[in-house]
Amino acid sequence: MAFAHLHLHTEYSLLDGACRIKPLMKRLKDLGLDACAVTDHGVLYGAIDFYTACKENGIHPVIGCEVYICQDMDEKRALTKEYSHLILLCENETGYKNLMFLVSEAFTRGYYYKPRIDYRLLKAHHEGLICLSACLSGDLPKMLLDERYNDAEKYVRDMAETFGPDHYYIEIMDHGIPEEKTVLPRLIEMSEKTGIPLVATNDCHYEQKKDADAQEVLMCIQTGKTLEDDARMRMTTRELYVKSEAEMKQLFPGHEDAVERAHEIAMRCQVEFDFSRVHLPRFDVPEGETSASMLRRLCEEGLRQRYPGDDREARERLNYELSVIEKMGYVDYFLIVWDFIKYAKDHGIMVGPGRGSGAGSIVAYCLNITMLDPLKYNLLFERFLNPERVSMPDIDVDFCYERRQEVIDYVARKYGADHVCQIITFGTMAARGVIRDVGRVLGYSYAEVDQVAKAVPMALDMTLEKAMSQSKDLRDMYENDPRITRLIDTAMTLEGMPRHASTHAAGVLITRDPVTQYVPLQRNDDVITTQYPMGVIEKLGLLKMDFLGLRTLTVIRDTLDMLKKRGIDLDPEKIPLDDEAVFDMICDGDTDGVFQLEGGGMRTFLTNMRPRNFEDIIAAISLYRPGPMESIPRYIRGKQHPETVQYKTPLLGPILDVTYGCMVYQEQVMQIVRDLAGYSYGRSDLVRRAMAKKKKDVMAKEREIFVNGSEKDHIPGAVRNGVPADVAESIFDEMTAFASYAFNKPHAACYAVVALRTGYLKCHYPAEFMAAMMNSFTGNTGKVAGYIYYCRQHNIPILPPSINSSLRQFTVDLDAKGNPGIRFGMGGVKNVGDKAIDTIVREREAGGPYRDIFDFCRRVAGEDVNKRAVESLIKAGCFDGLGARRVQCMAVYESAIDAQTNQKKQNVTGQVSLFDLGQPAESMRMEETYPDLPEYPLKELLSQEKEMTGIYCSAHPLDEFAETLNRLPVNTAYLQELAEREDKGIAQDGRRVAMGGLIAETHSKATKKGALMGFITLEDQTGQVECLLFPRVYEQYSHMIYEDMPALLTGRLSIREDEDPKLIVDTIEPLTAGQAAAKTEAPPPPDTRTDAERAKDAPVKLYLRIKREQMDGVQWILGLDKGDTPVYINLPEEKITLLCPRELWVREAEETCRDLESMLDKADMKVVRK
Amino acid sequence: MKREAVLTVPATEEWALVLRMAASGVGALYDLALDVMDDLGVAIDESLDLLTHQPARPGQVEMSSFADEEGLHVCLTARDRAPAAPGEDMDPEIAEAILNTLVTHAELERDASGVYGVRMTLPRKE
Repeated sequence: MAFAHLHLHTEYSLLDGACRIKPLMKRLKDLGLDACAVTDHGVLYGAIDFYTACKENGIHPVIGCEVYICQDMDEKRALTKEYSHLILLCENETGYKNLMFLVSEAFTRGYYYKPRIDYRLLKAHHEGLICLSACLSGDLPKMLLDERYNDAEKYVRDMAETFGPDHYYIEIMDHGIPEEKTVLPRLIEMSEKTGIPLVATNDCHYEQKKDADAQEVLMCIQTGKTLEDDARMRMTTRELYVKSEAEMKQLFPGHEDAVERAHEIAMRCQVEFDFSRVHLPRFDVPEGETSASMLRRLCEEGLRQRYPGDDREARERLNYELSVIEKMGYVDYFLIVWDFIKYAKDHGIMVGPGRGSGAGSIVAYCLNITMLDPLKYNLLFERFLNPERVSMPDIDVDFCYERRQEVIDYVARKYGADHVCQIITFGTMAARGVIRDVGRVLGYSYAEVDQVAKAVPMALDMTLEKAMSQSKDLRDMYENDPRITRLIDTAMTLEGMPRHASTHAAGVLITRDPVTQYVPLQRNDDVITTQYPMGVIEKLGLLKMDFLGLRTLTVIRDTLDMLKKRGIDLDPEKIPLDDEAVFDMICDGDTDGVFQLEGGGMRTFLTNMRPRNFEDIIAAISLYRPGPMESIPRYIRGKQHPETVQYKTPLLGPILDVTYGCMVYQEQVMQIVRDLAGYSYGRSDLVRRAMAKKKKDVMAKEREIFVNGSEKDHIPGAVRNGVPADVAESIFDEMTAFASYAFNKPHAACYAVVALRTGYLKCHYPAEFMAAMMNSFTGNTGKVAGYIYYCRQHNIPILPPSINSSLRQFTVDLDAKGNPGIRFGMGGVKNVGDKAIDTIVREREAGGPYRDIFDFCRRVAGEDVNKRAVESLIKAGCFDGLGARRVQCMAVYESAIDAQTNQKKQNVTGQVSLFDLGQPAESMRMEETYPDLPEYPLKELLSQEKEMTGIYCSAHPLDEFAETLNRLPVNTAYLQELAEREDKGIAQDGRRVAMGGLIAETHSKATKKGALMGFITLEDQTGQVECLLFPRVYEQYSHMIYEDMPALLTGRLSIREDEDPKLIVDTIEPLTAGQAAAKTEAPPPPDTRTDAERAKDAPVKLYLRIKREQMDGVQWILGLDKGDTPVYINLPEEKITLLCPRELWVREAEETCRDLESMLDKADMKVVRK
Repeated sequence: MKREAVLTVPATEEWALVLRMAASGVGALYDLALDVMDDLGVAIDESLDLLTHQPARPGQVEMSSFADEEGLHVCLTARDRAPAAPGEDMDPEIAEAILNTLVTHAELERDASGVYGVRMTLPRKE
């Protein structure tokens, strides 16, 4: 006697099923069930995870699906929205392949509201499948409920005939739903009448009865409703849980055989996955060659180019790598990568210098797959391909953002479109997000939910469980408020579940046979993707590649193209990485637009670090991240005072000298265990992995071996190499602490190459580089405005759009003084389409520059260049400088176009009426003169430019306030930077600030209580911010605010994870150059207090207890975030407490404490509030 | 005659407010400057925090104050101390450093079971 669930929805029945796979296993074991099926709605997303978990837990897995079926899957009209459910289970491998095919077709061909198949397709692909008639939404129960008995009988007999004996079953369920009670006897009768056996199932959507509420919440999240909503879709039962055999038998007295049959069916289903096999596609090689010989030939050619002189060391490494690659069976893999990278380079598509551990391979370097010499930079092959650990190699490649698809298309052409597809990824309900989702469903106020969500610390891989242990606030709320208890408990049950499916940004799958032979497919918008995510693809031994689109490569290409026009032909791969001027620029913090070095904190770090070579940049990229950041003060000190660098043993010197005694790279950990304890290359990588994953048992074992060695493993150990045991232990412990966040050096090195290349272009060709940057952000007016502001500040002329000079994009053009400046493109002008621009440019190139608006209209006005486009071009300033004022152009353009149109008409008529030929053409022309009108005021001119291009082109109305505005620490560029941070700058929420700019827009709205609230869009030189005026403030200031008013606003920042930063306004005053300057220079009343007096009055103070030798590091961190909170430093050994000078006061004491945690104990830091 | 005022409160965080208010009253009597009173409030918070986070947890805290030519003296003393037990103890050194930036002079009294008293002196208005 036994039972197995054959109708079960896991979490992969997105926002419907609440059975998590792992806890489900425990539930099944607790109930003594030894087999179970997965039948998610229309998808196989979780099949492999389910299979693996079952195998790990000794449960027999059955792979299945509850498909959607309709009469004609190609029919997609509103009337055919009807579909039914049907359960399909895989009896064998043929069945699995058929099921993959069916669900793929359902998505790629039959999708209409749901992924649907039809009976015709099912009939053709039924082999190896067992079919159950499904729940109340199945066709059979529907017919029986409608009392269409004859149709039902015919249906059952047809299905039995399609699937064959013992492959079609009538499913009976009882969840206490009235319709089920009605249909149950009819199903039993049908079984008796037709001889088709019954099988009992439960429509499992959650593990236990108590989880019913969580499932309701899940459904509300899916449908965007709240629990209180009467109209929401709801389950009419709480019985959709994983039941025991006894419970099932109790439900169907007299039909126990139907319950036991479920187990018999489960055991008949035998699908096995072999995860040890690799299914690499083959690379076609020329006749007479094998893959291996071709790879060797290509490498030899590359070796001669890469190492033209003495290549002994390189050759040795190459031979070793090739032998490993051949032994592990990855020859074709390298050829495939070589081939598409070659295609890209041959077709002028920019390719990154490499990414990830692949840069550690000399084979990749010789094949031009990567561009960094692994020998020169001490990059390890084992980090990439470890002969002691069988795993797929992983080469990720960056391509020009705009042309990445061309490479994917090439791969699809080469291996066949049905052999290539993109990969799915699942967004999951993360800790903060799930609190917000659940809070909304429970109908809690935004503020209440926000408070809870914000108490969850911002950190990678944060879970609610971790948050509860780390955050006292959260714990207190949970313990003291039953509403919050409910919120968090529900959120915990749903946390981590997949929420939606989308396309992985970079992953591409290439298979030997058609993709559907290996994985099910689906359609996300217009892209076909797998139904299995990246991890499962790798597990199945399939080849996935990361084709990343990198905007910076597009910027480099654009810059080089522009330079070519100036006669400068620069090979991107030959851009020097040791240019002194570039390092000077970086040390000055002038890194706008420079890849990876652009952020505010990074700039400060660079100005302190003062990098002078390529290795420094690699270190900077590796260090400036959470975790390694702790080593920054030590690194800087070591760099500035190399004599202070100390090593625990001299053996560490050669390994850590490049990073001044700090452990920065994973490769250093590997080298330490090799050089100090005698580990092999491969094993050193295994140790690194164990450390990174914090595998305690492995680490304890390795610690002993590292110190004392292991005869069995032929490892001498550090002690035998002359390192004292206690020193060896402390080195191992330090490595362990560091390994989890150490950076992969090849990855950082590749990024450093791109950083220095962009730095070089910016430093030596700033106009071209900034123009290319702006082109890469076309459509993002905030970013473009930011770069324009930068150019103005750095004396790079910004040239307005010109009908005789502009192309579609930003280009470099000479200004009146002959200096290279950035010319606005016409592509950014509203209402001017690509066709219009093409026409304008083509005619200009053919017939020379346009003389004036009349000449322009005569030559190009027509269908593509219509009145609206011409008006926009005039307003954008394209005709400025052609001898007429803008106002004059506006006055004549319509009649000029009309005249042109008439002329054309008359010409056409002329073709048919020879009588007209006698009329002189001149008499038909309008008089081409301008009315004498005064030009628009400057403000109006600028506002027109803004209206048409989204940006102020020729000047900025705030230029006169620039000095004042520059003094304000917070502007829209700063807010944009916050928004781009991983933590969204949440810590700045509530910060009191003053912001200046133009009031671009203003409107009001009535609150529920009838009071008026104001909304202002404030615009400064780089962007816009929304400002809110609560009723009291709005009442006070509404009379004085107007659009285009230069204003100075004070208030509090409102920063939320899910929306743009806002300013909650307290005061508004007009911004005038003099007044504002006075305000920011010497805010009234003039503060004449001494630092000590200010400190005394400060509402918050930070106290630190440090040792004298920590002073440098602490000071450096204090200087990172300057503000008004005084800092006291207590030196206990000297028994003094010092008030830090004003420039070391900080903005947020708590935030500074977090930054200092790496150097000081928590007990040594205290925030004191008044 | 030394005119001393004494107030005893339960040794828990919420009573800090009562101690602060009482201290403000005393400060007003002795004509302390407003900013000095502000600092005294912070110092009382800090002292109570220190006394209640010592190995020997007090049941009550007594605040006494009197004035002389040096200024106003405020003392907080732990009463009804339980036997010393491990817990989240506060480090007295940093507290002392903090107190000394708030008042003219602060001194801790301690024994084997931790800090049991804080003596502070504040300047009277010039």
